[in-house]
Amino acid sequence: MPSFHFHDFDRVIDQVHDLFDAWAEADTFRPVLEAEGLDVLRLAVHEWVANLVQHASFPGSRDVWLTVEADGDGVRCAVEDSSAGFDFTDQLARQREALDRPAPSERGRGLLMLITCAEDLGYRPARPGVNQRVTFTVRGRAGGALDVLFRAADRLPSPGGDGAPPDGLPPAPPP
Amino acid sequence: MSFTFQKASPTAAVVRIGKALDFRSAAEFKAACQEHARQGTRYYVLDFTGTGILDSTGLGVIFSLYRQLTPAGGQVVFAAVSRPVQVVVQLTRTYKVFRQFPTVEAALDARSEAPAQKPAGSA
Repeated sequence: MPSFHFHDFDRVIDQVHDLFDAWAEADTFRPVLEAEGLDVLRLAVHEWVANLVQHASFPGSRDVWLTVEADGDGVRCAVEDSSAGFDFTDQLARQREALDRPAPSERGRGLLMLITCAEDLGYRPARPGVNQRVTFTVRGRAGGALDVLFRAADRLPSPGGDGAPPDGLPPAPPP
Repeated sequence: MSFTFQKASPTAAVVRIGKALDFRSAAEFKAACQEHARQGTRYYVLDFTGTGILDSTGLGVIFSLYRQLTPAGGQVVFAAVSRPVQVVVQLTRTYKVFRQFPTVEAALDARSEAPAQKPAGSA
């Protein structure tokens, strides 16, 4: 299982994307993951690492490990980091609540984006001696739809829109 | 900054997004759009040629611009949408909100061909 270590947080986003660029160039995960599927995987990893870069607290060194491998009809991904972690369920609830605000923030949708890109999401919180870890699978076709990400509160009538109401929230990940 | 603004008319601008619009560049994008809005730009063509990254924050600032412009009759449209951006558009179903055009020129032509809105109550 290929695993990659990142520790330069000024460059980690670019380094992650460089890695995905190389995979795309080499068709590393075809035929399990076609180009669009790899884009979904890239987006999911980007959102999680972006969350770490922007919000995580690191008591010691700042390390992120990314592990990706083909697994059946999908690609299994694990992102582990040395941060102090956070309350995933609470933060996800906050992001959902924020969608209903009259003037929602431009930020704070990263976890919602992640859970819609990913299947079989697993989360291990950080505790002394154990790193925070998120695991998920992406399959060839994007499964979920993030209509909820920019719901009615964000929308105004548009000539190009079909006016369809937003769908319900995606299911919460398992605890 | 990876994006550039080009005035297409006194009220229209083409924004070349470049490689990425994400949490790192979103604030700068927003500030630049707001400055152009203050100068009278109401029609924004976002050119996604070659864009590899559009994340939730990047899409968030586009929605912010949309919310700002729409009450004043403005529009934000997408042009030359790259595959990674199309994936985000499909996942978020934002094709319902932002019209897409194959090229910047087509997006600008669509505006120039659009009939002028009549004031309410006019014949």
